[in-house]
Amino acid sequence: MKLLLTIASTALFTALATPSAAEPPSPLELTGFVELERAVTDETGERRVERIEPKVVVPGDRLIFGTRFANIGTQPIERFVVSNPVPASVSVTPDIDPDVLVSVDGGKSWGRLGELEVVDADGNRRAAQASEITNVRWVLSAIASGETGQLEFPVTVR
Amino acid sequence: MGIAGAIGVSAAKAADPTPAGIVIESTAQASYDDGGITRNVTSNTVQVRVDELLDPVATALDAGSLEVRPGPAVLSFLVSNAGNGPEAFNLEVVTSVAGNAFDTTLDSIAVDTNSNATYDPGIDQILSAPAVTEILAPGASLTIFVILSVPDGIEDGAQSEVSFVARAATGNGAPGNVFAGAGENGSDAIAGLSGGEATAIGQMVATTSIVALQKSGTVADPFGGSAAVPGATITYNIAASVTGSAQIDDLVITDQIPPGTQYVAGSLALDGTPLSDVADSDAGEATPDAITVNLGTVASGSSNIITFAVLIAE
Repeated sequence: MKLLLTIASTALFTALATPSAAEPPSPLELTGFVELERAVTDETGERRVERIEPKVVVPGDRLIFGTRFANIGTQPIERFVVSNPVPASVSVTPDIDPDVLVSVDGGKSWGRLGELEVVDADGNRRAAQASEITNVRWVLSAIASGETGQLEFPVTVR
Repeated sequence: MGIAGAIGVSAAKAADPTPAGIVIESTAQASYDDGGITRNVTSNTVQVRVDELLDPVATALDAGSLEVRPGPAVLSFLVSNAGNGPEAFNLEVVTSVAGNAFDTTLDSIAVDTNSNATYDPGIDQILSAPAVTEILAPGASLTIFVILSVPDGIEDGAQSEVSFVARAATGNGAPGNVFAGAGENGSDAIAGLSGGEATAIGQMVATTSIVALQKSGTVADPFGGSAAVPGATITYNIAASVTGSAQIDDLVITDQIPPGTQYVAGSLALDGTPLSDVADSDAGEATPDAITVNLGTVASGSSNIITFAVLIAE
């Protein structure tokens, strides 16, 4: 019994002593967020859309998934690529930025939505729909030191 | 930079909505070049739990107005769960509706237990008050029978409606009302555009008929005249006519033999065709006290003439 306890303690000590990562601290901060869009009518009777914390979400609701980035280092970051798989229970809406790179095959091939095609059940090729997007990707050539930004894509809950 | 432009996309609901309680997770991954070395960074995972939408749908299943007569009547309705969580529904039937020419009385509410779209007394389960359905899965529906009593004395063509209301058992109220923690798998429940309540109207029209009897008598005395004297014969003529929009079932006409007279054997006839006096396969029967003719089912708009004769006692 004593022997077993000793071994366990040694293992714990080893785990703590081992450096968890060899890489230096990353100059890039990446923060995911999600917001709920809700149409409201203001006091002047004008309808507008506001973004709120998604406390109650039901099918048909419109969500914005996004990522905030910040270069907290002293050097520019180059060839910055952000990828985000589209969760299964949501569907990208057609008003997604047409310049965002998307995939409709799980990330095997990429392009602008307007350039992508899918093969339907009858074997016919047709233009891909926003609802068929499986992954989204942004490519930025450089982020200066101290620069921040936000990347996002709109979805509806299926 | 991928900033969403257009706004106000209509909240189109998918045919197969995401089940309540599901947690949607999203994580971004980034890579960048750090002095010739590609480095990877993963964002935090954001989570959104899908809440339960309370969204019943009620539909009247009878095509147009159900034709009813005084007595029991059965209206059929469909209750569907258009929400995304399993939900039971409280049912209410309102029989007093503005504009009704007559109000029915609710007898009971039953479920189409054997799914044959027909109310089968003794087989289809009666929901004891307050009526609550079983729990319906998202997309599931249930046929409900509303058994009513139609009052006597209603006029042909008179109309009546009942209001059939299904309310989510979890709660109902203004659209968007939230019932915290009341949804499936610990999610919140929220009243849908229906407010968690759906109403269908069942319509009925009375198809009733009335039977008019007109009796006349012709006297023939033994002397060739028409004096009502002992030994004279009175031939009675009863015209039974049915008017209205429904047939009459089991119509039986009886008439007492007047005191001081006696039935003339073999004189009973229906529409000119003699009927035997004994109770047998034909429609008529005559005894010393009364005549009886069973007309059975009589269509609306038709009339029948019964004749029989009596002798004024000497």
